[in-house]
Amino acid sequence: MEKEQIEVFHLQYKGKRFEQHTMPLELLEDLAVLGELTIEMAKYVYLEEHPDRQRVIRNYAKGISFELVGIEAGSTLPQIVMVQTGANPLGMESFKQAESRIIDAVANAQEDPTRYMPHALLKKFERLGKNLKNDESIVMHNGNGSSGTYSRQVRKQLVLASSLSRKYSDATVLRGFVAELDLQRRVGHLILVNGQRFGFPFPDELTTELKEAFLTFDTPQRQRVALQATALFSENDQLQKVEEIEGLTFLDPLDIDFRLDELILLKEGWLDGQGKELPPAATEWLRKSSADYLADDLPLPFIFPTPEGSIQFEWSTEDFEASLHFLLPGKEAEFQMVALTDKAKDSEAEWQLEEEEDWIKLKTYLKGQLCP
Amino acid sequence: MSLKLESDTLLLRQVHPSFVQGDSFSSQVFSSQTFRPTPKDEFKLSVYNGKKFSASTAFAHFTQEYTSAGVAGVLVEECNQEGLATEEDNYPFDGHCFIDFQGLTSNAVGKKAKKLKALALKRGWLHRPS
Repeated sequence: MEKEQIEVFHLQYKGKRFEQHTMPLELLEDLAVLGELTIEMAKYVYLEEHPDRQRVIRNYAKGISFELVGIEAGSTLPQIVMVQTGANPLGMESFKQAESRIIDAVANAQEDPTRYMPHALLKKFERLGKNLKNDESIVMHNGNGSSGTYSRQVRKQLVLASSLSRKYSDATVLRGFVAELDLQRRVGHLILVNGQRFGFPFPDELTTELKEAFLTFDTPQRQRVALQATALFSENDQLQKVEEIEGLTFLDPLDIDFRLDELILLKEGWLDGQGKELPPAATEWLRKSSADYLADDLPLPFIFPTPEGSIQFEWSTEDFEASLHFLLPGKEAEFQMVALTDKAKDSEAEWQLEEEEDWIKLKTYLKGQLCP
Repeated sequence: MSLKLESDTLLLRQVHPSFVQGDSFSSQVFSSQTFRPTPKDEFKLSVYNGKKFSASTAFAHFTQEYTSAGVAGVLVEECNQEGLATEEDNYPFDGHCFIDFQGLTSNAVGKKAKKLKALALKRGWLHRPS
């Protein structure tokens, strides 16, 4: 049987996770969505070019498939080919045009992507790149010089453009306490760190853990949880509704993310009239850097705000008192340790934390000091 | 007029709620910043005279105007061993004292605050609101 094969969507995944030229499995769905989107878009292009046609073409995707044939080095470059086996009613040209229109919509997401794709198809971007992280992107080339960069922000713009209500759905992590559980209706209520309360549907397999968390709600050891969820957000990124729960994690009482969620709520004057607010962008930088470099192998710190609007990590044992003061919004930190039993072990150090290697050095240093 | 304090006087320090973290009541830890004077303090850390106030009356007095998560304390003698002078100035109220950090560098203030915190933490909370 006649078989034609062309490479489509020359993709390049960018970000720390892709530096080893590997593809996290959770991102493979993106490639399937891209294939589905291309077929739907090809049909749309065909109908646009044949306005006389009123009906959907029968078997318009016949003989067309998308296949991942390899991952090349150079960040992560998944090679996708479109394979046509036998005759297709739309013809390869419609698919190539579809590819270009998708890339144009991505490249022009900030302006008006509906010039390139209809609302109904833009909505399909909800499923594409849901698991990308904030500092990751996919560069798409069509081989004819057009390119577009797809990121979480671009995804949001494309999905918003598809929605009359100007809302978009996204993967998120919600931290708080399970305050209510209706086992019959399979609905729970979560109180977020900021006090907002949201209902959420939950699957059977999470019932036991949710019950365990809920039973602590009225006790002093109230269990902190993180729900991995898909939720609906407004244009301004305000949580509107929890659509689905995919997982639940019990958090340590000293969980760094949970504590930073609390501290970011502090208002100007929080220290009896003194006390500056924490700078949001710098706090997010610290959150991400702590997760990337400090979360493993080190004892969890106590975390406190400082009157100057900064953050101090502290470790307290019978042998020492130590602090790591981040001078936000700058990227510097000062470490100080006071040994309570042996003064000779007192130590101090200052750190510039601009680069990844600075954090790695800091972690090694902290391990030496805190876990000798 | 400033008065010298007896060495066995317990100095009561209010702990701000944002300087407390931990899971249960017994495991809650407060920040060493509790014993670090803020810029407004001009290197004089305000405390209550434990011979004039109980921890609970100091808490009640303080929270008329400000917020507190509870009361911790160190002895005058412990401050002196760290090279910190203490005084009772009775201003703005009778029984007001201060631990004097004047003349110290920022690093030295941080170190002494950590030592005082460790002593106070060992002593435990002297008062927590119910």
